[in-house]
Amino acid sequence: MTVNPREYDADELRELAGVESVDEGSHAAAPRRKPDESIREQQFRQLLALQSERQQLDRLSKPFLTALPESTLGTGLADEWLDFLVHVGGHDRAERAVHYYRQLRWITPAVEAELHVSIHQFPEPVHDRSLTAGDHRLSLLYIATLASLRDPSH
Amino acid sequence: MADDTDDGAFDGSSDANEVTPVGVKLGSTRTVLQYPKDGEIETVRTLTCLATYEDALTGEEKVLYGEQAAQEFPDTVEFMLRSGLPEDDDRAELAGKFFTELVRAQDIPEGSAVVYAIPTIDNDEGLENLTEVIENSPIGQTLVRSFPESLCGAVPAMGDGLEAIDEVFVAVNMGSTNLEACAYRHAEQLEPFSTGAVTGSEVDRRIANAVEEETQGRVNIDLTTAREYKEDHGDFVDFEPFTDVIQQPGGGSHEFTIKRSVMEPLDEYVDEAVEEIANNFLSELANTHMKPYQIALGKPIALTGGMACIPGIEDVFEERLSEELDRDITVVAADRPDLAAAQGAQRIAAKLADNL
Repeated sequence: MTVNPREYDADELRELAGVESVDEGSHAAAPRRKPDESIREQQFRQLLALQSERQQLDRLSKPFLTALPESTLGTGLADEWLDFLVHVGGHDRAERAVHYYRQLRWITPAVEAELHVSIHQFPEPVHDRSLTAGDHRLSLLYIATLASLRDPSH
Repeated sequence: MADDTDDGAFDGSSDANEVTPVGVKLGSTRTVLQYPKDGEIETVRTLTCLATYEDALTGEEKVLYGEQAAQEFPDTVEFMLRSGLPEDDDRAELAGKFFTELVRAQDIPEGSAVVYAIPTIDNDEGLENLTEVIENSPIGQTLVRSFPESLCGAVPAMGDGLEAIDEVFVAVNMGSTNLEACAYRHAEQLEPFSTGAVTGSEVDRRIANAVEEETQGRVNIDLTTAREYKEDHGDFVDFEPFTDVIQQPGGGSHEFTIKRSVMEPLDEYVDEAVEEIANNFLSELANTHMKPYQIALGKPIALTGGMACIPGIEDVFEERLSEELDRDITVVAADRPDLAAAQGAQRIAAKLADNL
């Protein structure tokens, strides 16, 4: 037996609270990881983005994201992005944000339509708030990363 | 003892079976127990200290704990969890005696489900010693779990049930011996942080020094008195200077008034806590977990622990942290931040008992 409070079972707690398991629910794209693993994952993604950016520097133009990547990593990342937007602002604000990104020509109308369909897969949060500049910056990072995951031949 | 749980949304009891769900916070200054008794939640709050003495008639060793031990044996009373965990075998033995005496006095059934709220301190030996204390305790034969104090404390701050488990939020526990912070993402802990540099005990020490200075060396108070000054008079909303009297060694008494010695150390404490949380904990969280950082900082930060009981500290902390981070932060606390960890632990224990 250990009483180390850092070694508790988060899945058991979620079950007790009657909330959806992270593997099936709102957090499907980001399974439970230790902080170190999360850091590695972020570094991996940023490396991918950087590598792609160097290759495509001369071709970087608006709209940044013309289609969502079809790979598992790509769809997972897109879900994680939408989960973030909905978790912060709720369905309505997430929809308005995606529309705003289209107006800024960060994404194409086709991407907007695809994202709109997926937004309602995520539950409304208990607390919500307006999106801030910091949230939009994070969205831009998601968009850049998603763009970097696109097959350059498309 | 006071019944501090009167919300109807979650009564914390476990009627489906006879297992008593108990929440325990073994704190360095105070220990809190919560469990259902006669259909209501019973709260036991006592000083985490023990004194032993020999019975003059039988020669037997007698044990006293809590306020009675502190009052009757101020010179020999032992606070065995001063650093948050029992540091050595002697303190582990004392902690075991203390806890056994405490739970026996409450008559809690052995076959209970017990959840402990424990500070997240990097001290393997201390944790091993605490494990021994818990394993040898007379309760928890049915089930034992332990969770971080900051998570348990956030449970009553975030709602009437276990809403905190499904949230992404930051919890800050202002304890006597450490300042603990952690971001939680649907119950998963991200970036647990703990420091022994900003503590309630340090505030007590500074109050004792400040009293000596404010009275031009005429008054020396011990740390227990300093803690009582802090708890009884510390107030960020409506502090009023107060008067106390000491007995002079050569007879007679000396009356003195305290104007600055309580609030200045408390002010410094909040500044230092804000500095630690903003520049050490949150900056690391932002670096490693960008998305949870963005989400959590837009939501209320849960403030718990004994220091969070100082009236108005919630608003002052909120204001100064907002200023430091240059963004609007909201802070929430449970009605009784000092009981919150045990209350949250009890709610988890009740759910566990229901599921047996």
